[in-house]
Amino acid sequence: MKIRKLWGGGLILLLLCGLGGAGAGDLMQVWPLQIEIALLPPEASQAGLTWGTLQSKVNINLDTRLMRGHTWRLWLIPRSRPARLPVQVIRWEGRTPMVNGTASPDQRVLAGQGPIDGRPVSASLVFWAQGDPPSAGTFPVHFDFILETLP
Amino acid sequence: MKFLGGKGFFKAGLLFFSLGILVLVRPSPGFARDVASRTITITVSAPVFLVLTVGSPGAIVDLVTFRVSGIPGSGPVRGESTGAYPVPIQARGLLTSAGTATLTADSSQPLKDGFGHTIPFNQISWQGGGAMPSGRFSGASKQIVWQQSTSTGKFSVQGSMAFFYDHALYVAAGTYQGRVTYTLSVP
Repeated sequence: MKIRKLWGGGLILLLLCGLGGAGAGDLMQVWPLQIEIALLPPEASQAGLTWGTLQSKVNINLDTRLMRGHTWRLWLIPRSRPARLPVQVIRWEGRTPMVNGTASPDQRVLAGQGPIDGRPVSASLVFWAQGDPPSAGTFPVHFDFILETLP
Repeated sequence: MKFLGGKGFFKAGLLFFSLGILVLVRPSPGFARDVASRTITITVSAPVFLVLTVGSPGAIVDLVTFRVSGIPGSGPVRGESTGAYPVPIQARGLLTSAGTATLTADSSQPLKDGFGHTIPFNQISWQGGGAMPSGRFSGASKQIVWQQSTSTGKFSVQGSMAFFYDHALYVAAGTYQGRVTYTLSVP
């Protein structure tokens, strides 16, 4: 009898742990994890070049049912910086609840916020870059998407 | 002053211990906390590019006008433009190989009045400013008007052109119009 109770308790504990793990994993989905954008020189817009082929979209799904608190916020911060490319050239645009922003080398920049009301959030950010190119080539930058909750 | 001792000391210790547990366990209500994080890689590519601006930027085509008066031979006529004058010329780019940048002009089509009369472009010269040397249109389709050796990386040149009509030929009265197209090529 004692053994059966122990087994039952262990099973419930395992289930709870499993659910907890799955919940944490689905709080935020971001894809694709690799995008490429082209740096548009300042004169290019004058010359008639458009953004069409130079920008990339990142999709974000948030499950507010798994969050605790009143408000969620999404922050972006570059984790690595290319030596020759100022990350400030990277910008993004987003529709509500996401917001437009410019990358900052040293601090988190707000990319979106909304209420924790149990409804799923499906949004996207469109990344593009404009600025003076240091030289021709490719410059990978790792960005952290950080989801924060406020009570 | 009364010191705690014996059972009293034990009870006080228990109380502080319990409070300590409460403080440790109770989640802080007023602070934000990170709950998830994902990392993506954004690759910024700086492509090779070349931008040439002659006159006004954008799709505007400036019109340079020569208001001719007097008989031919009475001296060159200075032009005036719908844009800035002297006409600015700017070339910027990002290059991956060194070589020679060449600016050519196509003035092969003469100025026309619409009634079959023409004026060849070699009747028009320009006075250069900045990096642009002075010259005269030849009427060729690929006349080299400027050349400069370039290295890899950023490339930038600025200059200007003030145009003059020789006013040396007798032509039928009227308004003559023509177009010159500039092309910049780099290695």
